[in-house]
Amino acid sequence: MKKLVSTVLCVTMLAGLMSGCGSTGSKSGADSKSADAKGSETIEFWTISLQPTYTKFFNGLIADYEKENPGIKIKWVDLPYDSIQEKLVTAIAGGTSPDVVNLNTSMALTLAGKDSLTDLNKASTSAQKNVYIDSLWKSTEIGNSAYAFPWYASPDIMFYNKDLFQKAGITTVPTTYEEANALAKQTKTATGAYLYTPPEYFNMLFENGVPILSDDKKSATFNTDAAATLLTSYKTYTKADVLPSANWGKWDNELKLFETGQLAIVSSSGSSLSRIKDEAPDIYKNIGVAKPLTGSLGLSRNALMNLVVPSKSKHQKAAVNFAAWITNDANQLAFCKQVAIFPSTKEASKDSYFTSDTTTLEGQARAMSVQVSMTSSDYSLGVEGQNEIEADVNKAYEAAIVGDTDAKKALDDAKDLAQKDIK
Amino acid sequence: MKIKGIRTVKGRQTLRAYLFMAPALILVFLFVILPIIGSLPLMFFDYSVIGKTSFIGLENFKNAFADKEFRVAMFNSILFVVVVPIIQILSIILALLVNRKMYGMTLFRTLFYIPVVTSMVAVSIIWGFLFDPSGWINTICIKLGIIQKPLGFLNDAKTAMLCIMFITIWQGIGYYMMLYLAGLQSVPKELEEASYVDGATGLQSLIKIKLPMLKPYIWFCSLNSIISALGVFDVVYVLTQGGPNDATNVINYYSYVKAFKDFQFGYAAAISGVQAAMTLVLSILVFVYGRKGGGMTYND
Repeated sequence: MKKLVSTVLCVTMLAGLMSGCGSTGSKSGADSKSADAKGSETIEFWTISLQPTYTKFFNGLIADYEKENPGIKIKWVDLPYDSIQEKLVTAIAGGTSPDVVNLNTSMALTLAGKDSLTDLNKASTSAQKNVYIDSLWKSTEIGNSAYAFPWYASPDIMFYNKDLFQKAGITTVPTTYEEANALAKQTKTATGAYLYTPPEYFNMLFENGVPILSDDKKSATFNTDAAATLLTSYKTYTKADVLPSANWGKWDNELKLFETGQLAIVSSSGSSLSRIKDEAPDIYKNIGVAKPLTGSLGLSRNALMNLVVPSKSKHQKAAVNFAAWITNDANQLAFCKQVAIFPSTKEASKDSYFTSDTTTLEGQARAMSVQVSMTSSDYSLGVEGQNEIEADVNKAYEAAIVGDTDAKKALDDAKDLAQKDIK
Repeated sequence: MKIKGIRTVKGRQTLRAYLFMAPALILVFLFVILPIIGSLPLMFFDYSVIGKTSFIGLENFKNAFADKEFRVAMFNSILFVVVVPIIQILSIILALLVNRKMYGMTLFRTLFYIPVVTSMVAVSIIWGFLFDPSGWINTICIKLGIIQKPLGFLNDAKTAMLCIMFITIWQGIGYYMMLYLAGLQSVPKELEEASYVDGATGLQSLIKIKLPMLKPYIWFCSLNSIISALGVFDVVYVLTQGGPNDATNVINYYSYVKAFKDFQFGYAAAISGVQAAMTLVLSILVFVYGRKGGGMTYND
């Protein structure tokens, strides 16, 4: 009996060990990359968190592409946001680079700076390039090179809790941070909830026209008096506990507070509505949609997802063509009909679909996204070390607001850190 | 490798032992030893995996000591070693408590050990919920009138590190308790009984007999604990990501950020090298001091 039990335990342990040896990405489409048959190419296509919600849609697109391009097979791998950059670097270093990869602008710029991405200004045709909104195409430009096909955009819009607004006596939805700050105290007093969570300090500076870098992009310049005044004013609000001091710009945390009635306004893209509907149906019923809060420039954020072609891809031409196809007008429009996101192409963004439905909340979110996309931007510095510089700028917030350091000192320290990260 | 006396019973038992250890040893060699050896030359290079690689000598080390964030991380890591005496003292107390023949004692031993075998990631996530401003700890404290409004334990630079330490102690205490329990059970009963016959109290017996007999265990556990404390990572990664305001930034996490977020693998290897040196120095101190431990100190 003891031998039997030990044997079973050993086998179970071995099985557990072996199961850990598989890959962590979800796969779909053609399963074998290595066995490229004569005359056929397999393109490995990586996306961020699109499975299982959009599996059917993308499998349909892939099937259409394979039908139109005999000899091309697409192997689709979906990965979580947190791990895609690491896995991509590992794959490139290991000689198994994927061919088309979905990255956000920051990640794309980091890899572009390491010469790991194909320059699409050279590799793509004018017909392929000219479909995109100019400002979005420029998001991943470094010098004269552009490193990504813009894909879907998620312009921030405001969702507000009508109930909390009513209890707080707010009759006009604020449009700027200044207006919101004036209402923050009465909201906290009347409802116990915060009115809004301030955005990441990096975004705040962008939205208020404080230059992060000099024109030649060789110096950090954000430690200005204007930046210090802005930070000091927010310090007053957080010390008085009328605005939260923690987790600025942490979307997950904001959404959680909004869904539990502890936050009256959340800035997010329209795609968040399905999550709120699932997780907090009572809050969903009371949502109002409005333009997002803006700073002095009237600018709001439009987070962009892109498709890049690693320079180590073994199927460059086919990869560029596939990436351009996935992000063309028709396919972006079709994707936008699956979820409340916004296209990055000129024609698709003019489609009447985005303004046709103003009765449902999702329809209102789409219509609002169209409006705000005209005055929104992906906050790109156009430099390789964007990620690090953003983190350094945000350290000024942590030091001043969380750590209670003097705002000017916090900014000067952050500037020194950022200066080291400018490549 | 020739195993002496393989034809003997002992030889065959030894061979069998090595065969059983072989899979684990192979994995340790491939995934621990080889990467450590591989990272040694990286310390002297500007290496980003995907960009250009160039030899830069000691530049990474110079940059590290000039890097304010690294100095903060080093300080936090050294500060974190404070958990070591706390864990050891609490573990000894727990071991003394569970070292009794009482109904239900096995249940207590099991309950204390369960956190040890639970994934630190899962433990961190759960404690993250508990420490949340809307979590149980705040809710209970407000209901009891201890605080008036919720506190952001993990968002406050003053309390975040304390929370990380608490979670580490909470998870580690069961492991060392079991080791000390084994130590206590190896103390000859006759010694204890003889001390009682001589009129020693329970406390005197503890101080003069049990603790001295536990010295080798204390030495081993402290050494082990120091190495773990300096290498803390999971709980910081899951809960605070080194914040707020670098309050919980530790060397291991900083090295990870430099490698996998900033692609500065050479610099990260150099930071890890400094961490290894720190661990070695502290370990040598404990080792030298602890070598004198063990043996009987109770005098007739």
